Amino acid sequence: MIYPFRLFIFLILSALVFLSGAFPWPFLGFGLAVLLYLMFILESPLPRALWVGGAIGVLFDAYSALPFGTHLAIFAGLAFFGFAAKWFLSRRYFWGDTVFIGGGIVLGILALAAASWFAAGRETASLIYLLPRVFAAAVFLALVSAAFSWLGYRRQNPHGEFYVV
Amino acid sequence: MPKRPPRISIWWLSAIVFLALASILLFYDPAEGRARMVVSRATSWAVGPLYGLGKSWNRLGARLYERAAAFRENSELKEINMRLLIDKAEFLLIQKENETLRRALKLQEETKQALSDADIIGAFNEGREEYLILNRGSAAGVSEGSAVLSPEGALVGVVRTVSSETSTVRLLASASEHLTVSILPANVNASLRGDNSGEYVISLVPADAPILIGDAVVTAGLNDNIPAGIAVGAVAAVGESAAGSFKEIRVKSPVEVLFLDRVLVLLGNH
Repeated sequence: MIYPFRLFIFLILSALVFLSGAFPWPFLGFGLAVLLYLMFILESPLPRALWVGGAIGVLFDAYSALPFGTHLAIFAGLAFFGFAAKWFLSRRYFWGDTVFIGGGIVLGILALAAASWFAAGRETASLIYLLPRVFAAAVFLALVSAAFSWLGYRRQNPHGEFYVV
Repeated sequence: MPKRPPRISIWWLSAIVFLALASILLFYDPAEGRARMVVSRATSWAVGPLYGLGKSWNRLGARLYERAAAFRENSELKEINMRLLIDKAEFLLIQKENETLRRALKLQEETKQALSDADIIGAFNEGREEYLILNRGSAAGVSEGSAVLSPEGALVGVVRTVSSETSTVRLLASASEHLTVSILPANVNASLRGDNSGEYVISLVPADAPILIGDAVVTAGLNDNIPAGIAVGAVAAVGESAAGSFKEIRVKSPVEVLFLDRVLVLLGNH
């Protein structure tokens, strides 16, 4: 388990690094913030998730060219998505966390891509640009999140030979 | 039993407040500009320096990418260069072969003798005798006594042993080789023998013969299988014999045997 406060610090840092433009590929920086936010959601109740998501969303909105509130809505939506997922999953386990975070990343990035597409005039050409990048960033970050989850849930087999989840 | 404080309701109340604030930000246009201003003012102190760092980071990445691209390009160019070098070497070899064959054709017309080109595949010395091994033998029409010329047409030596596929040439510079030559323009005939290292000695030339340094020395046509008029070398030094009644002449061959890799063999009147 990672303490929510530590996740919050990392989340703020990742948001600031995203705004610094240090990420070379589209959606990777935003996706990383989404990944950390989803991990934060898993450890937090809904109201706290909403407030933190709102803060990050407003921070992104303040600098983004998209209509104000887009990021806020995405993060709030993810908070509700996390609330529903936790309701649905009676207990925490590796595959549950992995699927929840992977799905959340896809949802978050897709929502941002859709907002960009709407803002850019809904042209097919921009879809051709956006979708492969959405897919690439989502796959990469889902693998990263799976690796994180594996580190959290791994345990040795009964003979102490290797790790299993 | 003490009653639990209603913490859940406060959290839910805060969630409702959040949603209300978010709704205002989303749907109330005048709030948008002000919120943007407040948030950017509150966070620009952190975002600004980080942007500088991010820019440096991206520049570093771009530089690394450029270097990798330059390295790739360099490797490709090296490969192309190597291919070009191989092509050039092949071209030069073909050019040389072409020149040799052209000369051979010319010589063939001049001497009215059949010619064969041969590669030098070996060389050895036995005392003062210098030999070359050629890759043409009796199967190609080479016989003992055949004259061997450089690709430029200067006499180099004479074939002394022949097998079906190879032959051995004794160089004219060997001490055992004797040849009757003519010194031009004086047109004096004399006997030439080898003195090693591509030099020859002509002795018994009358002392009053008008021989000068640089005069041409050609074959006289008095030896078997060696036609007249083939270049042998040029007079390099003119001295007097011990008795004083003859001249002793040193002749320098124009052929650098070290750099020779192909020769022409006169096959006789076929």
